[in-house]
Formats: sequence, C-alpha cells, structure tokens
Amino acid sequence: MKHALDFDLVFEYDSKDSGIALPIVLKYGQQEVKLNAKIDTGSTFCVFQRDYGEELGLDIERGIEEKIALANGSFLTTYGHFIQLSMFGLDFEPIAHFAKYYDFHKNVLGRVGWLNQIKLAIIDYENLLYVSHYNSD
Amino acid sequence: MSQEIIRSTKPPSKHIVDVSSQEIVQIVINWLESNNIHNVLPKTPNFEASISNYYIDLCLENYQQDKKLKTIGQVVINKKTNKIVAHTPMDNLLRNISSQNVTAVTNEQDNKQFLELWREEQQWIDDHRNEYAGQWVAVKGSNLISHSHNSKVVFEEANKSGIKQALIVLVESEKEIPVGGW
Repeated sequence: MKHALDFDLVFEYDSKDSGIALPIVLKYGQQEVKLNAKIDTGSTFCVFQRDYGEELGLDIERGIEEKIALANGSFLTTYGHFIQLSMFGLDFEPIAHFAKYYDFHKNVLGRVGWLNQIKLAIIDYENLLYVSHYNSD
Repeated sequence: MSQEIIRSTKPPSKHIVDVSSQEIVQIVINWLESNNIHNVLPKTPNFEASISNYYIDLCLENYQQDKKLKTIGQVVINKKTNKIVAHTPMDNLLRNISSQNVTAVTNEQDNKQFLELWREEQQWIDDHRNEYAGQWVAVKGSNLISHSHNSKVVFEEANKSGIKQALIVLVESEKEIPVGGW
C-alpha cells in the first residue's frame, strides 16, 4: 500500500555537511540572529550555543533549567526560553534551550517545539528535505 | 481510502488529555480559565521530555473533530512543585488563538533570495574554512563583515554595519570527526 503526504516546501541541503544543516533565524523582541542548525531527531529539545541567546538579549540563567544527556554519557545544562524561530518562512515559537557553557558548539533542532510542530520527509540520497508546518492545512 | 499505519508498541498519542496525571491536566485547565482562555486544551507529546518538567502543548479544542490539533502554545510545569514555571507569552497565545493564518509561508521570492544568499554564505565559509577555523564570522552573501575569536565582537560589528540577517557562525575545522549524534 502506498502512502502520500503533501508538503509546502522542499529544500536541497548540502551533501558535504556531516549532518543536515538548515538556515534558521532566532528572534526575541527586536533582536534576531541567523545561524545554521542541524536536524537532530535524537534530541529532545532545540539546543543552541549560549552566544546566540546572549545576542538575543536573554538572561540565560533565568530560563527553565534542564539537564540533557549527551551521547558520551555526560550531561549538558541548558536554560530554556520562549523565542521565535523562523525557517524557510515558517514560524515557530519553541522553547529554545541555550547551553550554560560557551564550549558547547552545537546548534540542533530537536523534538519539543520543532519536530513535533512539523511534517518532515527526507530523501538523503537526493539531499532533499520536504517540510510543512503541522498546523498547515 | 483506508490507510495502514505501522505503529510502535505504544500508539502515538495525538489525543487530548493524555498527560500522565489528571492533576497536571487540571492545573493547565485552571490556568487557562484563570486567564480567561477558552476553547483551548492541553496535550502532551508521546514521550517524557524531561526529568524536571512537563512540556505541554496547548491546542485549539475545535480541531479535535478533525483529529488534527492546532498547537497554539505551550506551558511548562515543574514536576516537583506541580506549578507552571513558563508558558508561551500571553500576547502570542492570544494572537495564535485568534489568527486564521499562523502558518503562512512568507513570500516565495523572499524565501528564494534568503536561500540564495545562504548558499553563498555557506560557500564562503567552505572556501575560507582553514583561514577562520575556530573563529566566529559574520558573512552576508560572499562578503565577510567581521571575524574574531570573541563572538561578542562579531555580533557587535555585524550590528554596527547595519546589514540585516548576516549569517553568524563559529567556523569549525575541516577535519571535524564524524558526529554520532551528541
């Protein structure tokens, strides 16, 4: 049995990257910053470098504290803040978690607030990513 | 047309009020009522997001009929105190409830230009990776705006330049080992 899905957007990502990196814009109040973030279906949260949160004007430590397990068995402390996230013109309002320490250099789009808000399909052989907002009709 | 869905042992929970405790549901409902927000119900994702907090989506009630829930915000409840510790800003919540078009895609032409610029920026970073590895850079198209080991310097200079939406990243070394998740 075949199954069909409809998507609003298709994006050809860079095959040279170690992951699937997308250009996103984070916004908070009047501040905004454009960065690259990788899709990480294994990540519960959207997690970003502390530097970006500070640039947005967030008081990082006033966010919701979480301890996130990393693949190497260690833990990362993050602070979650409600911000706006824009990707290919689709807008989201996730809780973005910013790393406590500056030496965390990853930016990832995880399940809470991003993956659970979209429909997503990937054809990695062709470097194609199909996406729609879940709320999209 | 009937659709066969391959389910895991635990079916995906896309239905209203599937949080682990009715008490938690009641907390959210009370909070909604105290803020005079109607036709909105709590929903949780089908996994335990955190050991410290419940992350609960708020959905428009009338979407139940379509079995398609329109998420309009989120609340976070601390598991120890059972208190709401954060929520989508109230203005945004109210806007999302009343908005008929919260998922509108921006102008396709704008999106195309945005992506073309981003590809130039990615190319510039690839071309100059060895030169700037370990540094923060601000790039717009194929133009370098600022670089420094200090991110604050780069953000400041990018802001001063008046150029909107420069890509600002920490340039990784080309010899980055493959990532096995993080």
